[in-house]
Amino acid sequence: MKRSWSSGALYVGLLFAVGSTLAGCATLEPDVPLTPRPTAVQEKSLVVDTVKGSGPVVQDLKPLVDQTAASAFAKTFGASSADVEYAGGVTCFKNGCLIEVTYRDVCVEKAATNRLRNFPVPLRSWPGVIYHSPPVTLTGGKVQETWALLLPDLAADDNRGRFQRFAEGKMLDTSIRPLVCTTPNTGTTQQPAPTQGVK
Amino acid sequence: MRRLILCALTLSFAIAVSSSADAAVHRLTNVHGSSCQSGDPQNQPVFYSDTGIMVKTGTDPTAVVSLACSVPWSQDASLTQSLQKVVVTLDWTSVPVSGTAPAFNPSCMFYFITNNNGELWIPLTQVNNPGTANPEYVFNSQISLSGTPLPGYGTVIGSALFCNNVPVGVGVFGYTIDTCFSSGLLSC
Repeated sequence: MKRSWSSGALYVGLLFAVGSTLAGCATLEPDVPLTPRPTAVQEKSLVVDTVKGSGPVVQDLKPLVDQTAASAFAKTFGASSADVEYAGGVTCFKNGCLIEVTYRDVCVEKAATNRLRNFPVPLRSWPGVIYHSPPVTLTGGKVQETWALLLPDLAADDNRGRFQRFAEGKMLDTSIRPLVCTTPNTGTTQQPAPTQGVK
Repeated sequence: MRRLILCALTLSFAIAVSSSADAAVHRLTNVHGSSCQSGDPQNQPVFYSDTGIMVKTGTDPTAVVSLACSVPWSQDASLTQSLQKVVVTLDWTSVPVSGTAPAFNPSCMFYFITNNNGELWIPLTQVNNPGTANPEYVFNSQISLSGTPLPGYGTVIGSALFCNNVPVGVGVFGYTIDTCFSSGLLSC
């Protein structure tokens, strides 16, 4: 009799456990509408506004961060020009540096992005995440986007050391290779002539 | 007897709490074999082996190859949480370690593109087993960000690893991507 009562209690306990678990699982059901995908403006704002709101760069590193970001960007894409215009320069905050860039057209924009993806340019060694916002086509065919060279927490010794090593390292000036783009407004970059296949 | 009932109730409470904690963090870990392609497959091809993908050694033993490795991953359709963290590990094989070999610097980044055509590159943040034939490269978004969120849920539509300075004779054993979705970075 006593044993039966014990088994009953255990059974009730287990039922309660299963019920609680199922109740927990029920909260995962997508009764709540899915969050809509952010628009291009919202996506840019998510990153750019957060960087702007992060405050100033750690004071003793500010000159080094400003100079390194500007140098890495210029040695990757060249100085501000009619093709790649960033007259506003580089503005750095605690969480990263922002550069508002206006390209001559879609073709130059794609050539610039392709350079970071496929060539050993200085920015590939930047010690943080690199982001560029969705490109926006302006009246007249120019294309605008914001680059964010994000920074790790430079208050941490490891991160500070990593940044200083990058800043002190030799940056090859790859901007001497011009952005190849001779077909404006087509949205395609000029490709090298196809090589002959091996028979 | 009361103790037994108390234990059962405690157990059910623990299970319920554990279940609710799972709802706050959602991790997806995908382990891939190698699926890389050479930037110049006609002149600098790769081949598959039982230890991954190897870059063929041609007439020039000092040549370097550009490799792109696709990283397929998806975001659970029932998720309403944000993408908080991405960690990619890339395992190499047959990296030359002799004193005469140039330093191994394949220049890799993890890349992804959003549905709005924004692009994001996560840098190399750590090398495990450096100086050996099998180094492991780690790309950790959390280390290289300082409180800046990644573009949120639903935006990533494609990703890949790009290495543009891989010496011939070297191989990729495989790679792993670990994504964490949550309502806050601290949970990841």
